[in-house]
Amino acid sequence: MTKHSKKLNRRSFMRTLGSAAGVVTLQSLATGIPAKILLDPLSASADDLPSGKILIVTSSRHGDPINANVPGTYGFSDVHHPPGDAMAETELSLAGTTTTAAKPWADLPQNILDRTVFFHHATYSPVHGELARVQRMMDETEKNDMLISLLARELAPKLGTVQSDPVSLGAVGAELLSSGGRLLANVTPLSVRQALGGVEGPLKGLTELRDKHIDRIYDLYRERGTPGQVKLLDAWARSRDEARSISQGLINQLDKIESNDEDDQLVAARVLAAMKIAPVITVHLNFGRDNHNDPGLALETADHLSAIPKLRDLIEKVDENLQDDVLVGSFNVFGRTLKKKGTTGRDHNPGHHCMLLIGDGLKGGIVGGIEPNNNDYIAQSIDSVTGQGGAGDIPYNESLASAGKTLGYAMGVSADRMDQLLPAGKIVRSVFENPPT
Amino acid sequence: MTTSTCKTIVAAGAGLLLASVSSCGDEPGVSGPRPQSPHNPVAWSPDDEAQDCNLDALLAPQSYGSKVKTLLTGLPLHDDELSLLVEDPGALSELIDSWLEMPESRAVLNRFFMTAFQQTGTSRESLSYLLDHGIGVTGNYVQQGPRADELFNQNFAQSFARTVSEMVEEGQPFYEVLTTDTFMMTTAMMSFLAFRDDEVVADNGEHHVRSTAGDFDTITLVSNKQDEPPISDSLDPSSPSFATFYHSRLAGLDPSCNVQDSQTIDTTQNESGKWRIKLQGLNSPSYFVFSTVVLGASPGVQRHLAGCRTNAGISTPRLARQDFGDWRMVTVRSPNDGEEPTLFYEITDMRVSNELVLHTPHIGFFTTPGFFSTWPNNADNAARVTTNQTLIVALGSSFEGEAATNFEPDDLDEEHANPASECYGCHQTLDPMRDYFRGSYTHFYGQQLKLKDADMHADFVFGGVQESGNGVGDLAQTLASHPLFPYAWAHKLCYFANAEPCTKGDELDRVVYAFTEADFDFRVLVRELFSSPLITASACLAGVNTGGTATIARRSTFCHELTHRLGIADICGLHTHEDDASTLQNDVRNAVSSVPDDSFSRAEVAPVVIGDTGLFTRANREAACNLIAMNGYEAAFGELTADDALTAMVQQIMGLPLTDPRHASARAILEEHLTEAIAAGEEPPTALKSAMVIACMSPGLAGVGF
Repeated sequence: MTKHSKKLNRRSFMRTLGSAAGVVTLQSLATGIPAKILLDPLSASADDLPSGKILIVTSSRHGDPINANVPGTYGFSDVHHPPGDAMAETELSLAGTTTTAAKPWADLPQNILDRTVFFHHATYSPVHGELARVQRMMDETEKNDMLISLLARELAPKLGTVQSDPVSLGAVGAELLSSGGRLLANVTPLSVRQALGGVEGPLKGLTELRDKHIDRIYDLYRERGTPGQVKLLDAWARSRDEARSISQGLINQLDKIESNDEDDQLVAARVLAAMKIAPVITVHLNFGRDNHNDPGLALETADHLSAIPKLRDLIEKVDENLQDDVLVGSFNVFGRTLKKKGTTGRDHNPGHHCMLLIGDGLKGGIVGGIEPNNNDYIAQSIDSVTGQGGAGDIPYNESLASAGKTLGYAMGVSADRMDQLLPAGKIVRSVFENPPT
Repeated sequence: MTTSTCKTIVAAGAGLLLASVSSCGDEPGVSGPRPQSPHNPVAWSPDDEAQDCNLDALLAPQSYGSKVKTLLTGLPLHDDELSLLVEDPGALSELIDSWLEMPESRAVLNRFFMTAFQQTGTSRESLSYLLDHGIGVTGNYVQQGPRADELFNQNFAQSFARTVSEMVEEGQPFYEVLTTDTFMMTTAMMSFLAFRDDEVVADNGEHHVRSTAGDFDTITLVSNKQDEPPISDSLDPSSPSFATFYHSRLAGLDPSCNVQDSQTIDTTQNESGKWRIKLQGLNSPSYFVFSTVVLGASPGVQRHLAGCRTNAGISTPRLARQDFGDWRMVTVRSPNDGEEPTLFYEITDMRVSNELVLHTPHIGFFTTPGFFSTWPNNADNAARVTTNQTLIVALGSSFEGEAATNFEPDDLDEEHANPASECYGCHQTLDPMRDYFRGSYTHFYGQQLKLKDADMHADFVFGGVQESGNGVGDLAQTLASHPLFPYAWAHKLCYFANAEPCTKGDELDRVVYAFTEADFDFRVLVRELFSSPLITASACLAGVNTGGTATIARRSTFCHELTHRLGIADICGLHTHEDDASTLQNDVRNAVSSVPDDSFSRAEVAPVVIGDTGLFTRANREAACNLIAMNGYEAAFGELTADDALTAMVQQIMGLPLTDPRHASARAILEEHLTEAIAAGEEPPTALKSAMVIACMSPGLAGVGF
């Protein structure tokens, strides 16, 4: 067969797929979302949608010192915490296990603490710009994609989400997400409101007619389109259909959004989760930022006092809406040093980070811990059954992959499938009320 | 040395007719670290089934012509241009040259350079950092207008891009972006740099006023605006009104403070009961004058009486608004023996000067206030980020963490000195290189006055080049001759055009070679690259199709297209302060805010360039198109008949000239929309505006590579 005849055949094939059914078939193939759901997402029944959880995760390239004040970092004489009552070491209970942490964590209601997991691990990177690489589990994931993007694609059919890519609401620079090799644009809360709410005015009534004629324009370009052109034309058509499928009732909830700040990122995240827009939604909450110079750890204190109540509010709102299919978490590029600079600030710590996970089905507790290393502390090995740190079967250098694998299982991906998506590491069973067999 | 170049490409002509084009010739030799002439290029042969050239992916002239013209100017392809390309695809080079001459192209390049040189990370916080003075509210020229800090940050973000555009237009070698001491500046910027040169902030945060110390031992403050002397007198040491300013807060103090029409501050004293500058230890008299004149924010003053203290007095800056807009090339040089540097308050002289005499070195893109604002420094970081970002911009490369085997630095921090640690690979070469910056600047980018540090020896060990030297001047020379430099800029342009790096190989080598042979004339790089299949996707190279990815029109391109195709200045308001903008500009700006635009990220070599669409990207673009149609139709097409308006929409907005094979069908679809909308009961103007939305959302405007 000559190259030329191959071209004609391919174009004939594309024309065949140019029909509505063909486009949906292509979309289904591209996204993994069942064609039935694509055609009518709101009518999908529970039988069509196996269990899975949407993840709302705060993620920062700054490497905030979340790891410095969580359960599991107290009881060491040379680990420094912010001075003062606001961040004082305070007793709390995680699903019946008593421990201590900074007061803002202890102030969370018991029903939240009982399903909160603090997972101590390393990220192995001290570089701000490597958040994407850490999200790829330091290049351990299938096709070297971001884990949350793999999980999003995996769970979109189960959850019946509008799209199978994650959405970021507060990402800048190195926090931008990618999926399947494509860099994904950040979407600010205000843009979410405008995009889904549309523009009021005389042209709104002609939307359906315009859609019909825009499709005709797309078809015109498809006729002689190259593969690259057709791919983008399909993406435009698909994203338009996605936007049209969202119910007006939920869109009205976006009216509360007035800015792009942390509060409105959380409002947007919650509403997008309720709309089932995407399986993973990232936001950016500050927990102390890049605090190399932070005398008295004042910034760290202020940010914790601000961020933890916001997390609490998010979870309580999710609970009010009976959204038991939503997990809330945090995952940053690295943690920070615990010892070496006292209370004057903290440097990057590639050896220790704490992933936070909160949600139904989780058994609150601490996974892993810390141990001295050189001039500071790093994550311990982990027992994959008990979650205890030290002398476990998950070595330090598999702690990141194990955190990722545990996250995936928590979201509803089977253990077998997680082994394919992320071969390294082990699921930590103690995290779950119903652990994998 | 004589080298030879040959190329054979298979080109897609009109209607994808294939034509083989071959050329061979001798090229003059090159010396130094320039790339070698490409040799033995492997051309795809249609008979070679082992190769994987996908003919379906090749673009026709109407598509690549439109792609290149849109990217370079934002304008649609014209009939005569398309005819020329159909007849002779080689004419693209000449067309590119003519497009680069257009003013629309300069605006495109300005935007590209702002991002490519990483000058845009400016904010009030970064301004505070550069001055090491907390900047609160600053003065503005009209109520609700942009404030002085915003005008400064706009200046900083634009300055180097304007510099490079000017250099490119004059045909200066592009490596001078690293070595130039001449920059596009405004009078306001000159005053700012002169002040930073005067009040030097040391590593430990101590401020040292060196040139104007003693100039403002006496400052007079008037409490009535009308008593304020002209700026020419206020800043003229020979005038009796020298150092006399209005302070807007004085009149509001309690009568017990005994505020007079005029009060004098002896800044050498700190006496109870007498007026003095608040926080006199932090706010030097020079800063008081600078902040009053340039920022429109007079630091607070007080007496040693309860309640007799003011907050900062905010008023119109004494600089003219035009002082933020009088762009011109200004050369920065060191003072000669016995010569005084330029003083920040010599405003009248600066307005007519093309020279700034400063102690502090200013060389290349990596010493500008825009770059320094984007990458602030601190004691822990000690210029490491600055150094790495400089490499990323200049060479398109970054420290990868692999240790060099033939280099042992002698002064690594203790924590990074262990070759077995994960830190060593980067710090082994990064730390000796950052000493170029440490030799020139403090942690606040003030001049390094500590002799031990100023004399610091720095090592450059990177990308196969090993040099040593002192200060940013030596770093500039090493970067300018680095072999990665020309490739880095070809790749940046490929990212701009294709949302991905250039495909490596002989064709890229040829383009870069042409660039270097033309003494690094950036216009030659643009011409050679944008007429190459690397961008046009009009031919297969070495058996591989390349450059054929269709992408969304990112925000700057989209808005630039709309501005020039509709004739509505800065329609998205991207370059207009919200308080100066029209309702349309503000509405569209908000709507397109989530249409991705090119940016950059710390430690990331690849620019942030998003080529794909998504639910929100498309929906936000649709919102913008609706707003533009509703509020911009009259301005763009209001005087045309419906028939002419539809034709204009197809040609101007969709970018399909009459001879484009898609023109007739596209026009028919818009006409059908008009008919059906009217039949559905809509008034013709509304139906036309709806058709305009379709044109706005069409691939010819919303996409690149159609």
